[in-house]
Amino acid sequence: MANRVKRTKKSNPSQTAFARFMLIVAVLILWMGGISVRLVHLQVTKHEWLKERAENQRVDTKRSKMPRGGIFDRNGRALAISVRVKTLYADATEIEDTKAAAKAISKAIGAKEKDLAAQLATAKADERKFVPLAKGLDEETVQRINKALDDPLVRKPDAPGFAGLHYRDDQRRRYPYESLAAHVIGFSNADGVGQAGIEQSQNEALFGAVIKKVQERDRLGRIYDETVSEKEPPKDVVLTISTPIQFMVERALDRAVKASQARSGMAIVLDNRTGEILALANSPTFDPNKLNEITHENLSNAAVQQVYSPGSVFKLLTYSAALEKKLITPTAEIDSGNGTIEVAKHRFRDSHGIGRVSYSKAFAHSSNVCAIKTALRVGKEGFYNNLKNFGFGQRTGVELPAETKGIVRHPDRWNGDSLASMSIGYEIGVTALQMASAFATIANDGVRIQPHIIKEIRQSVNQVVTSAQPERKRVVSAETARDLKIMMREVVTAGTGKRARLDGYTSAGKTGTAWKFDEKLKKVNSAKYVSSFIGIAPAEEPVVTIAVVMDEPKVGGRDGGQVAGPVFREIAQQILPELNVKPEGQLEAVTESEDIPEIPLANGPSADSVEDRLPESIFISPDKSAVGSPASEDGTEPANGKTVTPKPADTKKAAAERPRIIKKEPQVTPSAKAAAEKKKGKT
Amino acid sequence: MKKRTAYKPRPAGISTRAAGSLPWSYFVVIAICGCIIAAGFLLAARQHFVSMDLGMKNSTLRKQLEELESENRRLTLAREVALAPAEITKTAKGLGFVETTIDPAAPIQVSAATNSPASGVRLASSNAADRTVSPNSIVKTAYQRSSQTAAPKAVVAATTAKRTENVKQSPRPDPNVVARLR
Repeated sequence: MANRVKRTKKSNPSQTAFARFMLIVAVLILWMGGISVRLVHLQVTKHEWLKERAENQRVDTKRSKMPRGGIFDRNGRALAISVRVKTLYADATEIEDTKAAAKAISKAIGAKEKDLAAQLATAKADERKFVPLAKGLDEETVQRINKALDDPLVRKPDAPGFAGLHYRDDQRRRYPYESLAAHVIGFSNADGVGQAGIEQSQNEALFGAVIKKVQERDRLGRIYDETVSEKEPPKDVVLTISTPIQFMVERALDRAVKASQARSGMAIVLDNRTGEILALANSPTFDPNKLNEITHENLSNAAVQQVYSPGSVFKLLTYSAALEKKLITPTAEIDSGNGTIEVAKHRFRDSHGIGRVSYSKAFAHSSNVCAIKTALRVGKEGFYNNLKNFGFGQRTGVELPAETKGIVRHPDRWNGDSLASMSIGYEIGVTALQMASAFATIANDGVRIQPHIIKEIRQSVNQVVTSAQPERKRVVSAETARDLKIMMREVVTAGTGKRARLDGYTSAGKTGTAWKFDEKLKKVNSAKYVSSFIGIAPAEEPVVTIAVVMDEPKVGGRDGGQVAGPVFREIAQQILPELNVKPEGQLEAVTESEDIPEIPLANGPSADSVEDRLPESIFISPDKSAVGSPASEDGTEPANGKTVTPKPADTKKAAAERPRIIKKEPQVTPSAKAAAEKKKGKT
Repeated sequence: MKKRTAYKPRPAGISTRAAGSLPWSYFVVIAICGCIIAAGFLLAARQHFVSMDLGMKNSTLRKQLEELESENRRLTLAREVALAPAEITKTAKGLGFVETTIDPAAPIQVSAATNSPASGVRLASSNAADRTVSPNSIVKTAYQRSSQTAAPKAVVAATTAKRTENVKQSPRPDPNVVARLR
């Protein structure tokens, strides 16, 4: 045994080394096993909890909205733009002393200390992490607040240096030109969703998507890794509108509406060569920056959303149908007889008899009788087809929301005298844009170019996504268009539109004066007018088509030539140099200085009888944006706006306030003279 | 009998030599491996820190880009606000200019008998002879300084220079025609 012990003591050193080695290995195995067990425990059992904790410490997820796309005019001027602003908010759970915090914050942002303290205390009790304190802060204000709130003892990665306060990135939509082109641009709400105009119709392109940013921060709060979810950036919309022209048009329209105390007015300037809308104005208007001031009255884009009865401007369509069918020529003569015509037991009359005259002169003097006679020669189908070719009863396709089709009934639903009424612009509902487009077609030698207001949609300055491709269609022959231009020219030189003459340029056009349908009276109110003038300039090589429509002018002359003609003149006079149209260097040859009156259905059937033949909602009150009638093709609801009929005394007063114009005795036939005297007597 | 120790076969891989007697080449190999591992760790660490640094720079640049874009938008807005008609009107009025007015309802005074220049824009001047301007100036001259208000020299110089430039740019009618009209 002793030997054995001895032998053990004298064991082999290699064995000793091996045993020690194995001991170390065992310790290591135990150590590593322990670690492994711990790791398994941490990574398997406590995996979720640890992961969440780690992410909370270093990963920061932020959601922000890309700035909404901009709206620019044709020259690249920003009409609507979104700017980044910040919202100061408090994480109530991070604030220890709410009273002290409220005191400091109220000083910095100018809020009431008591209210703020109560707000923070409540939020802290509810453990709310987002308590908005100030919204829409621009960079300067943010800097000022940061300076005021900076606490050197607080160590925070983000501004402001105040415990529990943070900023959230936000954006605000701004319209730098305020009310300019407000009806075209529209506006968007606080969520960045378009509510009117281009903002609404192009919301999909303009909308700024929400992007998610996953930021990983180190212990000092520095971002060392950032993952941003890629989304397609919003696009910019470039309009065909020209800001200077829009301004001139709006100014002229606004002045005219105020001067004539009209209920509303609209004006459109079209480039007839391209179909581009250079200006589209409505009065009254609104400022999209001040959403609380927007009312139902000033919000409606009447130029495309409301229909009206065009009156005599529609005679252009009547004569175009006849010229296209080669039934008439401008120089051929027509006899207006004694200035009256009876169609289906309804009598239509002229304001003044003109006897036997050329078609050109009949058009210039806006003879109802001659227009009706011409339409009767054209026939129902021919007249209806012509209207359809010009785009009436259909949407023009302009990129603005809620555009109405207008009201054009099928000949099957016409009454006996419908053709006669329609030939002089009744029993039909049109929009100002449809009328402007029809005149632009004539100006463009009979080729109709779809009016459009978007020039292009682009991703960035140099990357155009889509550009306008307007539809082109020949509606009437070039010869017909030329003849109509000659006839329109005479309206301005020797007809009802003398006030639309230009200095240094030539112009052509047509006046229109129509009675309005009174929703209260449920009949046509002869005291309420829609006066319009649609013209082209220069007359020979037209560049622009300008449509001016005034709704219910009350002061001064009410004829289209007297109310809308001067507005056309002012607009054309200002925009032609802007469009680099060289003056033709000569004044208009004016032979007469008197105004030729244009009275709708003058001495014709009474308002009561006209009522029977008019679709109920041809005349739309500006009170209602809804257009159409149950009988209308677009199936929209009839308008039942509240209109007030002026008292007879008011009408007399308005007549007395009408500017007095020195008149020469017009050269009229004896019969016409007698008719005029008869009319005077009646009045 | 001398060899009492029972024979035990040694596990494979265990050298019969003592630890101290390992060949130096083993140490060299171990040292090289250690160096490689250490170098790998260092490299990985370096790459990690470089990556973090780049991440930080990237983040800073992103932020800078956003701020610059935001600033660009802000400046664009400021420019547009400054160019807006309402602002120009305010500034012009502040400088003593008065707005010209055109009465759309005013009857046209031209006739064949009087070949006077066009009615054009009626200006604020009290002198009837100055009430008409050529069509060229209708757009370009939106405002006219009130005669009562004295203009600062610098403003006058700037306005004059701008007008001259505008006159140069604006289309001019044929002088012969203008002479004939007058």
